[in-house]
Amino acid sequence: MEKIKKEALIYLGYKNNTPDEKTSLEIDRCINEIASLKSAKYTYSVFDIEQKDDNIKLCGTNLILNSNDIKNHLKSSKKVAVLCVTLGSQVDFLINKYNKTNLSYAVLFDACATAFAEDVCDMAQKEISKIAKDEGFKITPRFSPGYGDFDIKIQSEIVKIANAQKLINLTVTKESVMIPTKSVTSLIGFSTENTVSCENKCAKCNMNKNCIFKREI
Amino acid sequence: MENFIFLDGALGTMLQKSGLKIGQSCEDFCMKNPDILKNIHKMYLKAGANIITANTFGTNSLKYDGDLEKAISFAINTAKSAIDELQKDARVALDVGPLGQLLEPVGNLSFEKAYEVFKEVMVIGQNCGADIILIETMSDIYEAKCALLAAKENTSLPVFCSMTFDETKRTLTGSDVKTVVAVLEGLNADVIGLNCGQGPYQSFEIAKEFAKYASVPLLVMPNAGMPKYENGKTTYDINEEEFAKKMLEISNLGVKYLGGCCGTTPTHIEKLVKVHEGKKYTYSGKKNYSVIASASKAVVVDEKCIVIGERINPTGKKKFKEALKNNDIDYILNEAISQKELGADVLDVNVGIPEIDEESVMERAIKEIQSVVDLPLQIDSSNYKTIETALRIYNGKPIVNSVNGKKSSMEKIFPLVKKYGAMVIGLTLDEDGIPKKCEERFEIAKRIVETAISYGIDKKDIIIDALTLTASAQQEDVFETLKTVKKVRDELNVKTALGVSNVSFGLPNREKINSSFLTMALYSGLNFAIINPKSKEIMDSVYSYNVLSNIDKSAVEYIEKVSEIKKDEEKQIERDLIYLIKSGLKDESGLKTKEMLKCQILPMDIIEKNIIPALNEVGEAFEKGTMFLPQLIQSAQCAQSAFFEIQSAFANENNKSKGKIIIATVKGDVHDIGKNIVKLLLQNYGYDVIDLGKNVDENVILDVAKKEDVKLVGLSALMTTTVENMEKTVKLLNKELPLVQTMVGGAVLTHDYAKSINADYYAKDALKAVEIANEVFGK
Repeated sequence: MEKIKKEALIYLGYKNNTPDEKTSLEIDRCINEIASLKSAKYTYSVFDIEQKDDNIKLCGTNLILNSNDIKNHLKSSKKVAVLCVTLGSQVDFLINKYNKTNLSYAVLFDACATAFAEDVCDMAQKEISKIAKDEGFKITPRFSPGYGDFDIKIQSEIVKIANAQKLINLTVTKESVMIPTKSVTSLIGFSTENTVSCENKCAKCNMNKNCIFKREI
Repeated sequence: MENFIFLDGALGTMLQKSGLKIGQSCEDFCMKNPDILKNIHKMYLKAGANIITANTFGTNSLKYDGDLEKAISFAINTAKSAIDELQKDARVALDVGPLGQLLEPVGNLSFEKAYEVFKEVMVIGQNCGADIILIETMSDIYEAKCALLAAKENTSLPVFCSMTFDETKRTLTGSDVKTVVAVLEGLNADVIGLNCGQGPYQSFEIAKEFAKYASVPLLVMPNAGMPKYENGKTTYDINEEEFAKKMLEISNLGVKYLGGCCGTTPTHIEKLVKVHEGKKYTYSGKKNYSVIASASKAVVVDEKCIVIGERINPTGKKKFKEALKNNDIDYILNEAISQKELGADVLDVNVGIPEIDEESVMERAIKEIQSVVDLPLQIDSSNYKTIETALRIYNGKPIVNSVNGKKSSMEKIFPLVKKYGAMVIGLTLDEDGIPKKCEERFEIAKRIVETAISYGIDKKDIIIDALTLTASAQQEDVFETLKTVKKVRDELNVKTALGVSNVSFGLPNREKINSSFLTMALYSGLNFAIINPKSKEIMDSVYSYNVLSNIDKSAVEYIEKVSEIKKDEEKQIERDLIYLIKSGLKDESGLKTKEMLKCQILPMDIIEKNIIPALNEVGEAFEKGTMFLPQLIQSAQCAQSAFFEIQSAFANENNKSKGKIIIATVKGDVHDIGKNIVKLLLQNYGYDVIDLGKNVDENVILDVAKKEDVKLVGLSALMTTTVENMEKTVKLLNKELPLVQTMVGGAVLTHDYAKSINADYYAKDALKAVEIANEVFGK
């Protein structure tokens, strides 16, 4: 709960500041409301990967990853888990409702939902980590479409090979917008090396000069 | 007693075993390897399948790039030749899966576009010789409705419709089994059921629910089991034997059509067929539950009276009429939400005034209300075209208010009710008017019921409204209404409804008369009460009756809902308005403004000396980083509350706005919180904002800008991919309306990008947007 709250405050622009009591209680209310829906779902598929000079191929699929940053991220990996997470359309329904009826609550709710989705990713990642460990691997941090030069337009292919539409009702529009909107996809490598686990997510981002959500290193 | 009918198992997993790569088009793979597909069909036929599904699950224009007609005809022909070559007596189902895009309002795909996509596939399928249309693996009841309508309106094939449920026993978009049964049966699906999602053990309970509520034959096709990932492989937790055994338990519940989904193989089907050898299917009979539903909430009519909120109705409401004429949907939404909060179970929706296009306003109202409130709705109109439009786009199963005993009314309304599925209220009046006595009204009720049945409408979907008369005009006939309710309940066995407010027209203290009448009606057996949930007295009489009639056991609900009201002394609010706005105290801000107006303080002074300075202070603190976004918005909401009080008090004066501004989130983008914050602040600072919403086409923006003679257009986009549509919009506006200025904003935008697409201004946040507006309109 506390972790989600801290994360939500960053999205709300608080950085390290403390919110006033009213806002703090409202945030708690939002997180509880999202949790009570029990609508968060995740699914992951693990694929062997073939490292080529210019790209990475996911075996058994037609997906080829061309991004340099992803190649670097997976350089010591033999497999990759494709993780898809969504909070579900019930959360979008509520965001839409509050946008029309109580905008200040909507803003808090929206930030909490984003933080909540990240938390579900963390949970799924723990599960994936255990699977990797049983097979003798360590895992890399998550890497999502949109990071670095990993083109966001690959989103629909990622969702397709994870069969996410059937399993968790996650769809991607032709503009690569994920619907339901509070959704995350990422690749997690099964690596033979220890990767730096507390790497600052922001250090490698293209927008890190002007972003108001930037985490201080 | 009949035979069970067996469908086949998974196709996708079988194709993958034969070399299909994940993510690869299975249509193209099969057309390149025709024998593989035919062999799989043959294996299922040899295992005993009576219906095989053609390889067309994702073959629609949204998911498949190639020649649709070629792919579908190949798939069906392959299935048919497998049947011919083995000389089996089996049928081919056109397999129709979800479109892979979510429908509006959650997603971007319109109902109408989805309909066209389904229609195209189904017409080709029928032309190619499919025997059945199987709509399956649906998560969204709205998409299922769309597909079902496309099938029924464009083909003459039997239609099976199956949905996917998860461990919460709801579909992934939140519909429970009662809702699914009510909607799909209402739309005349020939067979309904569940498939995919889980294995047979987990599907058992869901199948049981289906068997409880459904009157049409049932279909169950679970996955091979629950998947587990072990040693680098995904397997299922049960084997083929266990699958078949559990399916036997499921078929015993009264399920006729049986098959398998993901992970199942010809062996699964073989064992499934074998375990049913010598066994017969017994139809469990017609069910009589009266159910209405929204997509996520079903209401079953039982002994407890259902409260239908009547406030969304323009009759006698000047403000509402104004809102309808100005296309102000917020007014309606607020009424919807407040009625829900006050205990309404269903909401009546009536937008019938002569000055507007009732059909399109009703369509918009239904869509908007359904996007904020999950209660089932009652479509209230005297115009059958309006009813038809509403029925078509409604998500769930509604009530239609109303049909009456006139031949012309029944001829128009009953076919609609039969086609789309709804409960329908019949008024006991006919060509001769409203009869006085119970016996005559009962005769009309009887005629309505018999005619409805002749149209194929079931008794369980009929509601009779015996018409409440006005006590002050027809005092001796008031009880005739109650007698009719009782007689209809006892002798016709259909449901009853009444709008009670009419009874007290012309008398003082109307609520007291309404409450007494309602209590008597409840005692006579009333099922639906069309009342005003805002009237505490009326709602209290419902709760009281529920206690007396032993429905509200131990008076739990009564104790919770009916409490002593302590009359709050009108306290003087001590703090000044500036403080209240800065502190984000919304209700107090409104009350303080009311107080100030009572003390004859001029609105101009309230705005210029209190509201605007408060907002400015908050804005500065936000820029400095001592106040944050939630507080900025809360203060803006306080200002909004204050403005509302001023506008209410001076409704007749033409409040001149500082200028008109259009805002919209561009095409392809659905994120709009930032835009909504901008709208709120612009309104606070006196601008008239035309909010076109999200996913807005550039031509729509152009049209509105021309029509409304707008000087400034604000565009928002969140993603690098949709920002391209922002560029298109700016280009179009610059070309067609060079005098209109544009401002752009959104998380991925920068000043440089704004310049590069020739936008006039870049608004880094809502406050900057206000500054820009002041500059543009200050000139």
